[in-house]
Amino acid sequence: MNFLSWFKRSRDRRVAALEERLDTAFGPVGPRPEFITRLRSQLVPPPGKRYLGISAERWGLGVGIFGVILASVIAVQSSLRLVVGVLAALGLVQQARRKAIEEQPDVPLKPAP
Amino acid sequence: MTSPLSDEDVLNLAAEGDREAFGQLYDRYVERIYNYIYYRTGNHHDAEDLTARVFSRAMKHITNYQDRGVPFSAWLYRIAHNLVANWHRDNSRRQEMPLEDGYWVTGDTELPEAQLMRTEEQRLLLEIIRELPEDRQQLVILKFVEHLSNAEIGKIMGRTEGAIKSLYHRTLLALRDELEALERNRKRGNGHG
Repeated sequence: MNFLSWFKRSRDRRVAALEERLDTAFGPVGPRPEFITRLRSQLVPPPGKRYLGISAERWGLGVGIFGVILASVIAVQSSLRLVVGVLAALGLVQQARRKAIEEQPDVPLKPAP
Repeated sequence: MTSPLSDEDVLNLAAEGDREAFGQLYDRYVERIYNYIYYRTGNHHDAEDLTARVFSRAMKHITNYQDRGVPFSAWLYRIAHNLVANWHRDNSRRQEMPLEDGYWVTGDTELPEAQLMRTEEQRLLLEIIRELPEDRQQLVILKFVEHLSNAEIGKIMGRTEGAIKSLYHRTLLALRDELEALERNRKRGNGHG
């Protein structure tokens, strides 16, 4: 019984010594301040300026969408004008040919004897 | 002067989508999470990467967070533990803590010799801690780096306080045996050299 209690006390002492070593060995390892700041700004972007109650970001998005729509309208309109112009040009060419044929003098079918 | 908002109040705001409220939670816990991950991975580069992932994931799922008896800090530690476990699985190599990366917050007044001894002691202890299973590593780090109680650790690990106490005792015995064997082997090696 004495040996068992001695063994238990010895084991508890060694465990306590280990606990003390573990307690003092690990201190806080501070992260880099730049890392902390950068990550925070990625997670929580700083509030931007607001115009007429709308954030600058939303203004930018709105202007961008409007620009795309406007560019699309202009592109479609230009394409239609191009098509109309080409058709008109073809029509003019056709008309000129017809006129040239009509103005040509009559050519007899048979040569004179 | 108004007292700072409690975690619960800030959490409620963050769960409603208030990013600045989440920023406050970030300020409160980032260093603790970083410390935990650093000691689990052993290097600052991976600690930074995983810390960023922890908070990104937390922010993504903050609206789904519900306090079912698990404090917010415990939720963060669980995310960190899962990411570290995935990291270990993907890397499956042991990281030695480099001596030059001593970003000690305390210790500015320590002598260089004392710092070196402390670093060597830490390296020895981390060597045997990393031989432990994942859950025991987590327990040791939470106990001796974060200085959490058995009850708090139990909430993080999803176990009762009694189970943590029992696991803690078995872990210390295992660590003690490993440490004594390691120190005996090193003494024998030094004796032959």
